[in-house]
Amino acid sequence: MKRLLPLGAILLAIGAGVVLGCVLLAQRAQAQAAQLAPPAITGTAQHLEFALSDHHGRPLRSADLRGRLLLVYFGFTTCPDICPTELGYLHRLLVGLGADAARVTPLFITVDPARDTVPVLANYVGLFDARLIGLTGAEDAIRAAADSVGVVYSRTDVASTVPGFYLMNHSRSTYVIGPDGALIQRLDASAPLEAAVLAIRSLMKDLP
Amino acid sequence: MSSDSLWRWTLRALPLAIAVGFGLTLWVGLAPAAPGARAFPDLAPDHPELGRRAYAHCLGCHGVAGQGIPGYSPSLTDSAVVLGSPASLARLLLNGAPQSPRWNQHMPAFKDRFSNAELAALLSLVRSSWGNAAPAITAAEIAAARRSQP
Repeated sequence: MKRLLPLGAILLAIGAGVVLGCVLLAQRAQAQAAQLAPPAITGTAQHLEFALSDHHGRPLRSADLRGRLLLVYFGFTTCPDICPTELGYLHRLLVGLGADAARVTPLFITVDPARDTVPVLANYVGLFDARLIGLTGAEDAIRAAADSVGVVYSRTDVASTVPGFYLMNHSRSTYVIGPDGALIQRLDASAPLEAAVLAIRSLMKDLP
Repeated sequence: MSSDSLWRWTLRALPLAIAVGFGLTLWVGLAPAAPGARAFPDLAPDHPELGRRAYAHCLGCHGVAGQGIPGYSPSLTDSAVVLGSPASLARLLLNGAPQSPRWNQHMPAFKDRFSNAELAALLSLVRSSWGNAAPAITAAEIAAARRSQP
């Protein structure tokens, strides 16, 4: 038994080296993330306001979500590239937040209500993340929601053999909305994911 | 070997053991990531939903039933490209395709967005849906297509 003690000491020393290495890697990752974290928006008077329907057809108003941190993306389900990229990023962000993701509410607000009906939204949002809530409504209600945080969008006709086929040009950021409804940050998929996770976690400190 | 000399050797070896643990951790932690990020880090590479979830990135152009949009994006049903060579199809997905006189929408390159397993699940789903009946594509075939990139 006594002869096994030196072996135990060696194994403990290797373990200590592993711990030291992990500490160094964690510090390095945190420093990189802090350096790359997108800046917060300060002094904005913009507050997200909406009265829409979720992808189950139930009414949902911005007032119902006060007190929560919101991650809001405006897009449309027939978007060829940007929306899948940004919603895929949003999914990885939620995965990166782990259990903390329960403290944020992710929203996808369509800017194309003519095509993005409740059933279309229901099929779409779940493919990206089961926690994502799709929102649609009347054209003017969506325009009001977009205007409240400065999102711009417009219809663009596209040549195809389908008459009236169009796409939507739209702002591509994910809008981070604080518990009082104020716009506090914009994220997009070009920001390193670790930086975005760190930024969202730091905003959670102020949550009730 | 006496107990005293064993401990003497052990004490001498301790710094080396710490260095080994430290070095191994940094080697693993700083290793470059495998090609292709995982779009669904929460799903195992053999998860049955992987292909359907990945298709969310395609349905804007190719439609919920792979029907495409005439003049804009091709149909994925009964398509020689979809049902043909796995290597060619994999390269098309990895590198994307430019806009053309026939198709008014370019296809983005997916090589940095999906892992090999995710691309394999996606292509296997497309090759076996909406009346298509071509064999599945494996992650190894996607990896080979990546390696064959110029």
